[in-house]
Amino acid sequence: MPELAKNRKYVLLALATVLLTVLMSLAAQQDVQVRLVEGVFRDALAPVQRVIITGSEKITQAISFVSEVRSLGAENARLRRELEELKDRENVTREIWNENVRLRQLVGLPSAYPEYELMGARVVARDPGNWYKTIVIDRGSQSGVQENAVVLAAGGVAGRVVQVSAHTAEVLLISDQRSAVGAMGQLSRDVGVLQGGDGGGGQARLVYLPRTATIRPGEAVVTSGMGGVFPKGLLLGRVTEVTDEDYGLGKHAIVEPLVDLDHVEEVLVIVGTKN
Amino acid sequence: MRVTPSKRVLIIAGAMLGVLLLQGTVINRFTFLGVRPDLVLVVVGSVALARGWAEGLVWGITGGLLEDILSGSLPGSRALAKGVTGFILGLVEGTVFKENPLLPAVALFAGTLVDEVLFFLAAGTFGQVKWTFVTALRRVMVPNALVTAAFAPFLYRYFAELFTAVRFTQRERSRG
Repeated sequence: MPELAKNRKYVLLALATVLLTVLMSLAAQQDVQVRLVEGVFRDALAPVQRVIITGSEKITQAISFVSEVRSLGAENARLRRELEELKDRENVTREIWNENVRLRQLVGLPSAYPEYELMGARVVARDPGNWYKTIVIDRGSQSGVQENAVVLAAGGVAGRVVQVSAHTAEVLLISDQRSAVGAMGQLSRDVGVLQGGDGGGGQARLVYLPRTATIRPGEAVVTSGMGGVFPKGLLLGRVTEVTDEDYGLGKHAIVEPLVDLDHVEEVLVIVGTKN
Repeated sequence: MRVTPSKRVLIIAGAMLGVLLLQGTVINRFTFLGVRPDLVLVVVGSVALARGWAEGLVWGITGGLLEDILSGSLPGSRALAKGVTGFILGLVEGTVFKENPLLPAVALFAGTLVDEVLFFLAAGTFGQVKWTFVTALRRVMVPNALVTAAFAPFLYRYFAELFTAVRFTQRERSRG
């Protein structure tokens, strides 16, 4: 017993380690009670997070407004130029659209994508640490959000829901190191898996490409529909670099996500299909 | 500054929750060397250095659990890493000259590395880390240790004063 008292601190440390390991083990097995406790805490803190994030956005907007006023003249000229360019682009797009409609009618192809029911949500928090890329949105199971629901943002796919509580949901972004999405080149149709956290600087890596892959820098990458979570054809990103694997066994491509995942503030959640 | 033990508990818990909420919202926009400082660990480290292993362990587990709840990490993984780190930093208490301004920076640099390695092992065991150790070291561990160490002296100073004030008050009472 005196030995035990002498080593009390190490006994306590060992006890804490064992208890926390048990907790991790339960959580890893998706224990309902652990998830419930997590959900209750997250729901309780969501309003506070919303207030903080709204306040910080307003401050950021005020600061950027002051700095923008200074460069208003140059901004005006640039916007006029952009407007002209956009008008030109709109014409080109309309032509392509018309052509597309005609070609679809010609070959009798069904609509490329099913129509989804989308629901808007606001980002109320981000992972406070450095290991993971997750966000918390202010919609949960009471709004119809379910696990594995696909989350979209301006540009394309942002990620998928991995955990849902009553009023919030946690979204695993495609740039997270744990994310893996079935993907393919939009033009080349080369199929691979888009892994997050592998390219550095928020980029992702399209791996398991065949040796014969013809995917090139600049090509868009879309979901392949394989895996059953992400529907086929949703935009993911753009290829910036293609590299041969060691020993020429295959290729991989570095992909820049089209969504600005570090600054996304509003998202759309696919909650169902319309028909 | 007179701070009772119960008030101190509230201050530390409030500080942890506060920095976590800030890290998940406002501070999240700002990164240094590609990472955000681990301010919860700075609070845990400061308490551990000032009060010893027991409080280091308890506050490490508390802060880690809060972080587990508010982040995408596996519940218990951050708590284990921060609890053990708080314990180790607390062992230093009483053996170093606390007023040395380099102490919090050096201690938190080492503490962050310990915390991150433990997290890598704990979360990695349950398949929650896909990076290799070298990748994690390069991307998160070393940059985070540097950035957290840079922030450490400011928070440490506040927490050290908090505890010094309590001890001084207790001494005054015992004399009186």
